[in-house]
Parts: sequence; C-alpha cells; structure tokens
Amino acid sequence: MTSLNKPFDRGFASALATPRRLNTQRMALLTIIATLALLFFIPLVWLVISSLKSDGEVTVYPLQILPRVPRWDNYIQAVTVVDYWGAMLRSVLLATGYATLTVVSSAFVGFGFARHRAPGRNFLFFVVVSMLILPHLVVVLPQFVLYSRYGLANSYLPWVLWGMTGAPIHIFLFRQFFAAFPRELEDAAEIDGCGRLRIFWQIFLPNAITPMLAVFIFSFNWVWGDFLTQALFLAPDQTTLAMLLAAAYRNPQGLPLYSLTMAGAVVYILPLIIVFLIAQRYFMEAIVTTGLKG
Amino acid sequence: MLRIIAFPNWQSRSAREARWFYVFVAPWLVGFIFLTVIPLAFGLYLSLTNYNGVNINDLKFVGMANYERAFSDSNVLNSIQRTLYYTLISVPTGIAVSLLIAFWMTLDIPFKGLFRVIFYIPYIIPLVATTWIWKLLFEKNFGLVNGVVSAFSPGTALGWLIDYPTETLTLLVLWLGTGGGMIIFIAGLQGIPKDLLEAARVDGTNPWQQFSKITLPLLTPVLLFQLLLGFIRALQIMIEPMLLSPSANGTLGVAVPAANRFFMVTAYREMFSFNRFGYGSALIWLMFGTSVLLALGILWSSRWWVFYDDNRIFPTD
Amino acid sequence: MVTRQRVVSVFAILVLALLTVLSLQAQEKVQLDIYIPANELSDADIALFEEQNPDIDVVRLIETLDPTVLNSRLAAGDTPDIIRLSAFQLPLFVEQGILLDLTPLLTTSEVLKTDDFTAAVDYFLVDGVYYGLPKDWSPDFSLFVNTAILEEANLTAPSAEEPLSYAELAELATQLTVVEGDRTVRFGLMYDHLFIERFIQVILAEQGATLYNEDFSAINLVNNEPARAALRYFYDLAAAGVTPSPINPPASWPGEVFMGGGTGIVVYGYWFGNMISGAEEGSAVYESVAMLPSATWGGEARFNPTWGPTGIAIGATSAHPEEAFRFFEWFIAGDLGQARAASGWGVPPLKSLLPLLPRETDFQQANFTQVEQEMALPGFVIPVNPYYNAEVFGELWWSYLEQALRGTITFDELVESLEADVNATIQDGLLNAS
Repeated sequence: MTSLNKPFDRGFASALATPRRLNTQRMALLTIIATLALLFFIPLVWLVISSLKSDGEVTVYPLQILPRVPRWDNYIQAVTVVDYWGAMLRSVLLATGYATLTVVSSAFVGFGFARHRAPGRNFLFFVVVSMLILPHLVVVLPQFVLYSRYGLANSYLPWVLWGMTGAPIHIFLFRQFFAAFPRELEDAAEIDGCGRLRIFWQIFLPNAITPMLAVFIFSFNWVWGDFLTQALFLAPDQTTLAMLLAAAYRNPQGLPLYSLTMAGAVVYILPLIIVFLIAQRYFMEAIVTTGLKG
Repeated sequence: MLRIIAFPNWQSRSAREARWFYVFVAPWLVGFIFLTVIPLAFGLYLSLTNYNGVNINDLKFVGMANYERAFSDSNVLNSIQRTLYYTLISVPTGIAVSLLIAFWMTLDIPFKGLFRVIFYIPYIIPLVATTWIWKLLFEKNFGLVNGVVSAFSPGTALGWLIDYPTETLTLLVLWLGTGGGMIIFIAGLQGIPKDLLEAARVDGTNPWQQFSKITLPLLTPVLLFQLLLGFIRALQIMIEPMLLSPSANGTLGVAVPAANRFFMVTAYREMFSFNRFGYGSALIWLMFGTSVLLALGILWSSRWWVFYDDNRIFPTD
Repeated sequence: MVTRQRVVSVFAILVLALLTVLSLQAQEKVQLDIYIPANELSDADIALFEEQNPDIDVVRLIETLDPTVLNSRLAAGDTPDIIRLSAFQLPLFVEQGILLDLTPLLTTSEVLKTDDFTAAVDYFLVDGVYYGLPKDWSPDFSLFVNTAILEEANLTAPSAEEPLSYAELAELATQLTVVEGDRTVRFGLMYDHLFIERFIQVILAEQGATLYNEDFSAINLVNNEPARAALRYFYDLAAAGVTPSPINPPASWPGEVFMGGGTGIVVYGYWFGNMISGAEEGSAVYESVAMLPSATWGGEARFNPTWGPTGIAIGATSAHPEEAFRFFEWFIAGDLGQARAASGWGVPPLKSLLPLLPRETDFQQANFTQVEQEMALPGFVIPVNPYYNAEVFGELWWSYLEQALRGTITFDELVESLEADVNATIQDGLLNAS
C-alpha cells in the first residue's frame, strides 16, 4: 500500500520539468492551483462567516461580507433553542453502533473470503464486488416499503441489521488486507490447535487495527452525514443531527434562522474535520485500497 | 445434494475449509438475501401491482401496465432526458477536474499538503450541511455569488437555484466529489513506474506526449472504476437536488425545479407524493436494469481502451 | 416429600387465582384503543379523562401521527376504537365500512345535539349519516392584511364587512408588491398553493359550477370555462410576480413570510390570528394586522368554508361503542373540547362553545366578530374527491406552472396536462376502489 503521508518524491517532477529552469511556468501553475484551492475553500469560509452574523446581516441586500460584530452567541443558541444534544446523542449512538457492528462483521466476512477456499467463493466475491456499483437507492426504497409493511420502520433496527451484515466496500477492503498475510502465521496457529474463530479473533483482527480504524471512521461518517435513510426510517421523535439540520432552525415568528442553521452546521461538521485531520493517513489509504486495487 | 457432489470426502481438509468459509461469509450472505435480494424481488412484485401504500391486502395484479405507462409518461421521458444531460455534464467534468488536480498534486509545487487537504475536505462534509452552504452562496436575493454579480452589474440577480438548477447542482457535486477522486488518481499516478517516464524524457518527448502516451494508458484501470461509479451515481442522483430545492425545508419531493426532476426524483415523487408505489417500484426496476446494463456495457467496452497489467477489477483468481 | 398430586393442586389454585384477578380487572375496566397523537391528547388529558371515567382505560396508540400504525391495524381488521382523521380521508373510510354510524348515539346524547352543530360538521356527514365530528375548523379563505404595509403604500384598509372581489384583491395585491431589479422584496399576496383545488372549487360553487363529474370519476378543466378562468386568475398573478411562483419561490410557507413582512396579504383561516397574536413588539406584524372576509368571484352566493377539517370518529367494529362515545363526547365538548376552544387555534364544532373563543385583545375581538360574520354565510362543504388527494392537484399545478411561466408550454397546454394527469390519478384511485 502506498503511504500518502510520505512526501512525494521526484517522480513526476523530474520526469516532466526541470524546476529551476521553468520558474515562471511554476509560478503560473502555483497561481492557478492556489486560485482553485481558494474557490474550494470559500464556501467553508462563507459558512463560518454566516454563522457569526445576525440573521438580518445574512439576508440583507446589498450583500454585507463581514458581520458588524461577530456573534459567538449564535453557537450557544444553536445548541440550546433546539434539542441539539439529544439529536447529537442519537447521531453518535447510531453512528457508533453501526460503525462498530460493521467493522466486526466486515472483517469477519472479509477474513472468510481471504483465507478459505470453497466452491462458489469466486462467484460470491464477484457478487460482493458487484454490490459496490449497485445503486444504493434502488435497494433502500424497496427496503423502506418492506420495513414499513412489517412495522420495522421508525426504529434503529435497520442500522443494526445493516451493521451486522457488513458493507460490501469494507468486506472488500478487509479481504484485500487479510489476503496479504503470510500463510505460515495461520499454519503455526493451526498446529497449536487454534480453531478458525480463534485464528480470526486472536491473530488476524489484532493485526488489522489500521483498516479497522479506517472502516470505523468511514462508517461513522456515512451514518453521521446520511440524511435520506434517517428521514425515511426514523420517527420524528428520533431526530438526528442530519434531520435537525435539514429542517431549519426557526425564530418565534417561524422564519428560518440562517445564522443559527449555519452555526449548527459548523458544530455538526467540526468533529468530522478534526477526526479527518488527525486520521488523514488511514482515510486516504482506505480510499486508495477500495477505489483502486482489485 | 450439493455436499455429495462438491465434497466427496466430508471430513477432508478442503471440505472443512469450505464449511468454515460459509460460516464466515454467512452474515453477509444472509444480509444479501434478506436486505438486498428480497427487497428487490418485493419491489419487482409490487411493480406488477397497483400498490398505493395502503391496499397491501387488496393488491390487484396489473401485469406490465406500470412499465408500459413509464414509456408513455411525458414526466418520465422528460426526466430521462434531464438525467442524461446531468450525467453527461457532471461525470466528465468530475473526472477531468479530479484527474487534473491529482496530476498537479504530483508535481513539485510548494504547499502541496495544504492544497490536498483543502481539495479533500468538502468530500467529508455531510450533504445536509453542503446544501445549506450552497443555498446561501447561490440564493437569488442575498447569495454571495449574486452579491459579486451585482457589484459588476447592479440590480442583476440570477436565479441560480431556480433558473439554472442543474448547473448549480453540478457545481455542488463537483465541489464535494473532487477530493475523493483526486486521492484515487494521486495513488494511481504514483503507481506509474518512474523509469518509464524518465526514459521517455530522455527520448525527447514533451510533457503532453508523456501524459497521453504513458500516464493516461497506465491509468485506465483506475479511470474505468471511476467512470463506473461516476455514471451509476449520476444516473441515480436524487437526494442532492431535493435538498437543494429552494423550498425544501426538511420536506422532500416538493417543488424540485423542473430541470432537476431527474429519473429517481420522479420515481420518489410518484411513490411519496402521489402514492403510486407500484408505479414507483417499476421505475426503480427500470433504473436497476439500466444501471446493470450500463455497467456491463462499460466493462465490455473496457477491452478496447483499458490497459491491463495484472490489476483487474473483478479478480479471476 | 412433595407428591405429584400436591404439585398439581397448588398449581391449579394458582391458575384459578390468577384467572380470577384477571377477570375481575377485565370486568372493572374497559380498554379503549385511541389513534390520536400526543399533541392533541396529552398524558395529562388522558389522566383527567380516566379520573372522570374510572371504568375506562385509555390506551393512546401513537406519540406522533403515524399512518403505518393505523394502516396495519386496519389491515388486520383491528380498527382502533377512536380514529383521528381528516375530511379528506373520510369518504374512503366510509366506503370501506371502517367507521361507526353515530346517528343512534347522537339521538340520545345529552352533550352533542345536531342543531348545535356548525356548518363544518357537514364534512363528516355522508348520505345523511354522521360518521364523526371535527375537533375544530376555520373559515379558511379569510384574508389577513398587514395594515402597516398598506399605510406605507398610501392605501386604506379594505372594509371588514364588505368582501373584496377577486379582481379587487388582485389590484390591491399588485399595488403592495415591491420589486427591486431582479429581486422581489415583497409579494402582494400569498396563499397555500398546495390547496389551490379548494380555491377553485369554492370559486366555481359561487357560480353554480363544479370541478368534477357527479361520480368524481373525472375532473373537468379544458371544457370548463369557469375553471379555466379561475386557473387563469392565479396564473396571471404568478406571472406578474404578485404571488410567489415556482420561478420566484418564497423563502418559506405563506404564514412565515407574512409574519416577517414578506407579503402584504395572506389567505388563511381564523387560527392564523392566534399565531399573529403571539407576535412580539417590533415584529413586522405587531398590532398591524386586520382579518377580512373571504374574497368573492361574484355570483349566486359567497362562501367561506374550511378547506377540510380534522376530527375524530369511532371504529365500526369497536367492542365498546358506548364507552368510546363517552370519550368522543368528552374530546369534542367536554373539558378537552372546551380547553381547545379557549386556546383560539380554531373554531369549535359546536355553536354552544363559540363564547369560549379568546376575546381579550381588540385584535381577538375583531377576529371573533369576523368569524361570527362569516358563519352567517350559507354553509358549504367543498366536495372531496374520494379517489385522489387534493394536494396532488396542487403539486401538479405547481410543476406545470413552472413550465408555463418559462414559456416551454402555453397556458392551454398547462390546463390540458393538468386535466390529463389528475384524471390518470383518479383512474388509479378508481382501480383501487373497484
């Protein structure tokens, strides 16, 4: 696996251009990239700026770029005028529960694919890989119809079921990871009388902390950010942060409160960004494995 | 039956291994059957009935009527046209931009780590937050973009979310999707042997020739996968235009601008606005069939344009 | 030593004792399964009712409205004793025989007397049989105008007694509209476009015309001149930018925009006055709103009915219709019904409860007078097409209006498409009902 944290060495640079000679060209390129990066960054800056304005300042015309005084109080209001912590608690529980289950089940299944030969294995693995490109929506909507038919909607059960059965993309990731383990490790354990379950649990899993962490973060992010399934499957009194944010904050007169919504959104996305900055490496490695190799 | 044919010796090591294999894949297999195959089959069954969300005990079998209806329903036909338009503008731009940025990120440029993080962060921001940001940026009356426009042409206010919704949506998808594609392309570019490019340089080729003759062909397996995912995602786009519609305050399916009423938006509306769950299920099955055919088509076409070494998407083992 | 016999006898005694306790309890209390959400029937309400009726045990089936709960109970043939439903659901429920005929219970009732019913109760009357009662209702076509905005435009407020014609309403609304460049700063008029079918039907009824066939099997728009004219009216207002439209959408629902001063006039019912009463000093609608009679198209009569009230009914298969009716009476006219009337969030279904409506402020007093005035109009029940939901009309109208305003289709094509799509929906409904 390529580690992206390693500084890129002279691969392309030396092949394509001799840097010193093409200084103006490099400056031009740097300017273009910096401009593009700025364009990518402005929406986030605008989010933060808007979260510090009063509502009048957000909706005023002509446009007012900066707030007259930054209203940090917006953040206190954003988490108090609605049941923010309750929704966050449900989001955390749902995301953590799902992610934990998925990590274990995906690793379990991935181990099965990676370390056993059996008739039908290649076909089943083909099915797993096909699931990577199956339109998610095409399954979720009939699932919703089926679940509500049997009274399973309006509960956390769907996430438990999804978690327990593993996600194809993560099964794939674990399969790739476990397939690279040396055979001897397993043989030695087997001679010692270890069962398959113990080999998985005591030898393979403890050596798979990196992909487990990546899968956990990925799954957590998915549930944290996913709106549709939560809107479909959860009852109104099970509001999560995604649902809370979608149905805007309102003032006593009932008008949408843009600045509070933006402050709520900042608190909503901040944990993700912090975790990303800390765990950048695992994130990117996992993307690379699932998106590239096969 | 199967046991006798497949494993003549039930006690053999290979038979034991096979049994363990099925123990380990059981969670996924059970889930696949109950959470994917059965809902899909249930959807197929409903698509042949007049299910309206209530009459489950009194369903009437309508044969292929729902499928026939889809092909004469002008709303559906228009939505297909819009979906194709969106797919054809969003997938190529998405891939081109992320490939271009990935390429730059492999060059010798200062602050590369910072740039990479900036391009990547939108990818992890939840959609609900992203659509709110976009609404504030592109709102007609007080959005930042129109604020800039007004500075040059006072009084002008473009209805981005209402009059150009597909283009605005494409920008949103580009913003949030570039990071993911970029990372994969960076890794793909790093996997290209440096001595090949070095040799080409020594032979006196220019950078563009090196890119088109060496880099791009070696990158085709990655491109193939990105193309597959990109097309499938674009064809079934639904929740993004719904959250982005100007009057969507937590309620879905209401007042999505006509230009953004894509195929799955139409299917959702048929199900949840008009209670035509049978018809909606038929539309979903049409989408499923189309996606499968498209995926097979792209894979089949890959034999002419994808350069394979040993990196196959579907392992042959 | 424990013999087998002894074990059996001890066991038998235990079972007998258990059965006795259970049967005593069962004799003591009648259980009512009630499908009403908690915001309309709180735990405190239930406790109060059970205190007043010690022989009844109330079980509320839902916290919030959840059609899946009702549907699965109905599908299992286990109809709840009390069902909350809207006038739009009623025709289908009656057809399916889900609801109890209340006539015999009403003839002996001390609390609910038919001559005390307001006109809105007729929404629950099918072929001379009462199947339920609305919990409350409002004359939903009343106009609320922001007088501060009128003054700003140097206009005087229209009369609170004499109704505006729709033409006058359009003219007034146009004068209140404020546009700067490409931006609409303020709309002149807003209404709930999802319920436009209700508006059209009232306008047609004033002229003695109808929207649907007699058996509701089809809608008539293309060859229905009054209906075309009414649609044209709303189309023209949208095209002129006086009302919001799909290409010039409002920031939020009409009530919210009105509260923020984003529209001069809004069409709503009495209940909306309660929302304005809650406005704080300094807000755009603080002490600057007047409730006016509904606009009239001109014709044989003027009506100001409700869009369609929400109420309760008793399940036809209820094992305890007497007890269920006692709850029914209490919910409509007892402590809970009286508290609901006093809250001012709607007009009570019984004339005898009208004096309970709030009249503390001048605004509330004026609104009360307005309600009395509108109730003197001939009663009118806007027909409910049992085969499709009126909101579907509104949603289809909105989506075709976008195309028409963009010029991709003409107004005539809009009318044709609307008729065709509604008829297709009605056909679906007919197929389900057959």
